[in-house]
Amino acid sequence: MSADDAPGGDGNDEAFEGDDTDGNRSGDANADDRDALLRVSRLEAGYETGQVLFGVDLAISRGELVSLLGRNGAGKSTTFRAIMGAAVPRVFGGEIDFAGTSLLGRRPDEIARSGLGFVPEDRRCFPRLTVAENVRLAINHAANPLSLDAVLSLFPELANMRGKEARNTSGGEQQMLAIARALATNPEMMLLDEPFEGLAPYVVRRIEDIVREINNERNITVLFVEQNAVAAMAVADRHYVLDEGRIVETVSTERLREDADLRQRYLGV
Amino acid sequence: MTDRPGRPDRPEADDSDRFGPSTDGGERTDEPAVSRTHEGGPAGSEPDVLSGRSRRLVSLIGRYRVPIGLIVLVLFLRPLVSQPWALGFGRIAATMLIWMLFVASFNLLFGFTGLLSFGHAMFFGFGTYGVAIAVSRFSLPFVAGAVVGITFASAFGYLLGRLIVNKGEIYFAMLTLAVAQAVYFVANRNPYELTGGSNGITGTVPPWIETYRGETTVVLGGLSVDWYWAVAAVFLICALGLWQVLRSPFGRSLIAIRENEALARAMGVDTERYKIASFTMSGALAAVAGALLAISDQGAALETLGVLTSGDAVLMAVLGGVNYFFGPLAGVFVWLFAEDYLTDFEVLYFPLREFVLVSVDLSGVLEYWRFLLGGLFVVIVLLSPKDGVWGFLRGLVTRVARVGERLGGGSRER
Repeated sequence: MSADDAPGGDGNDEAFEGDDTDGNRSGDANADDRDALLRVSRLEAGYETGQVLFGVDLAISRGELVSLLGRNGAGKSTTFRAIMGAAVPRVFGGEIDFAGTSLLGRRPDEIARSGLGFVPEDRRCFPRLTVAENVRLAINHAANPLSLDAVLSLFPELANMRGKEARNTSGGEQQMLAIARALATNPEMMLLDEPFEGLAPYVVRRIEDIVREINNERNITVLFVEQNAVAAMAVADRHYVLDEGRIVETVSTERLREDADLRQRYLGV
Repeated sequence: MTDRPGRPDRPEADDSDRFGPSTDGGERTDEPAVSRTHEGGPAGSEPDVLSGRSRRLVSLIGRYRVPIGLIVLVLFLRPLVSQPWALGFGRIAATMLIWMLFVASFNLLFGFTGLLSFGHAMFFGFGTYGVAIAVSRFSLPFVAGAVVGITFASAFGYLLGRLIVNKGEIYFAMLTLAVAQAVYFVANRNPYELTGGSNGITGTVPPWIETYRGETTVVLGGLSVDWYWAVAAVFLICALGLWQVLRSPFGRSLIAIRENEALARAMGVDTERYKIASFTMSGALAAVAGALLAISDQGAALETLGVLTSGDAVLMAVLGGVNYFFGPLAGVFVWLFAEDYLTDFEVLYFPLREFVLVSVDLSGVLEYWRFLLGGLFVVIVLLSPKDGVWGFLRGLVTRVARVGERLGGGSRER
């Protein structure tokens, strides 16, 4: 795939600036922690086989780029699924607020339309729909979407394979497609579930660039799940460390980089 | 449809191109998902040897291959099945088109939304009984009966859909089966002398239908048209409508639900609403087919509502290939063709009847035609569950085209 030789940051920046739908978003990145865009408090959730989350607390302000770190089985994906209102896990207690309204008890499609863009794990796309149709689907069901051309202009790799079925694209292209699809809904915040998992190193770098661009240029708040502390440190400014269903640490990238003991204890690196 | 008027004996013909004409022109027809945006297909290598004008023609044919395929199907189906070496029996063509419409409506739900209904016969039956009751019991015009039947099927589908569409795959299948059985038993009890119980309704012949020696003709205001063409017109309108629906954003959303419902929901698709809409639309289309069946069969038979009818729809769709627009149509063709063909012939001559070397007496064995068809079904499902006969043919065409491309490319280099 040709992801790495595509036009770099500059070309994309122009595309970002050329799109005026950006204007309606407030750009204050340093909002007070008390009026966080996404606030999860004392979240308890689990499956039929048992409880997984025992009181997860997150508070993410507008404009932040935050990672949710943790080992396999720590409850990262469960947290995401609970936020997105999936049928499983069941939420036992706690609160999830997004932009001042509670998300609990709302249908997943309503949550998606309320300004939360979701990029599922394993870069899930609709395999028999084409690249363009995948994006158009999100556009057709969003409250205030971008245009197809505006979205694809940010992903030159995808722009010239609009008619290709998603199942015939490479892993990196599928990940970009999943991100493009979430971006097309013009969300206030994006949740990415393991966006760098299982990709070749140079593709990982491209996806990292994209995630940073989304945050910097579009002022979209980003929360992503990651197992690998190194990858998370390369992208995010702040990190939540999740262990056995609880948030055990909230650290800056510098702290995480210096504190080898912390990484060893909770992340095994 | 086991006993048919006698047909000329047919020599053993080569099976390979038996349904050539019906699929002919459809060789480029495929599921709408690919049809609009196909770029690098078999036709992709041709343009460089063609002029701009013919290139535009090729792309136009590519874009409208489904309508073209449908028209070719309608035009050639009857002449094909009338051939003495085929079925020698043109009347089955109208029945085939009606069943194609029915199974296509079923496949809107199964193949394109991912909902398996085991009770689709009830919608088919609503159309049939609507027309039969209106015409035979109340002497109302056909159109009134059809409108009532289709409206009832839509309303029934909508309300039932609201109740059961989110119950999960297995429960959806079971609940549709249960409701269809309930409808069957109600019709069997002959409420208010309307449905005729197990005898069904006979003699449903509107004044504009004339039958002479088994040929049904529509006579309207001095114009007389064969019944087949009336069916073909309705079939074409409905099938083209279905094609438009499937390639619209609505249809794309249905496919997204089929592919991954949870993901579709996370992308903002109100999946429940879409599934109800698909169920309603599918029921309405099945009722249209049913309304035609009432005229074709000149009445309503209780078996139309039976569980076998629902089961046949499922099997035909899977046999043909549920992922393709033409899959269910091919499935109906193969099924009805095989049914008619296998139940009819008794002695197999090798190589030909005129030059017999070996003859095999098959009478008795072929009474079990459903068993043989079942065997074919198992083989196809084991080989490729979603591709079916149509997927197999498409694969064949693609492979042949690739070989041709390689040969053509080689000669161009020289």
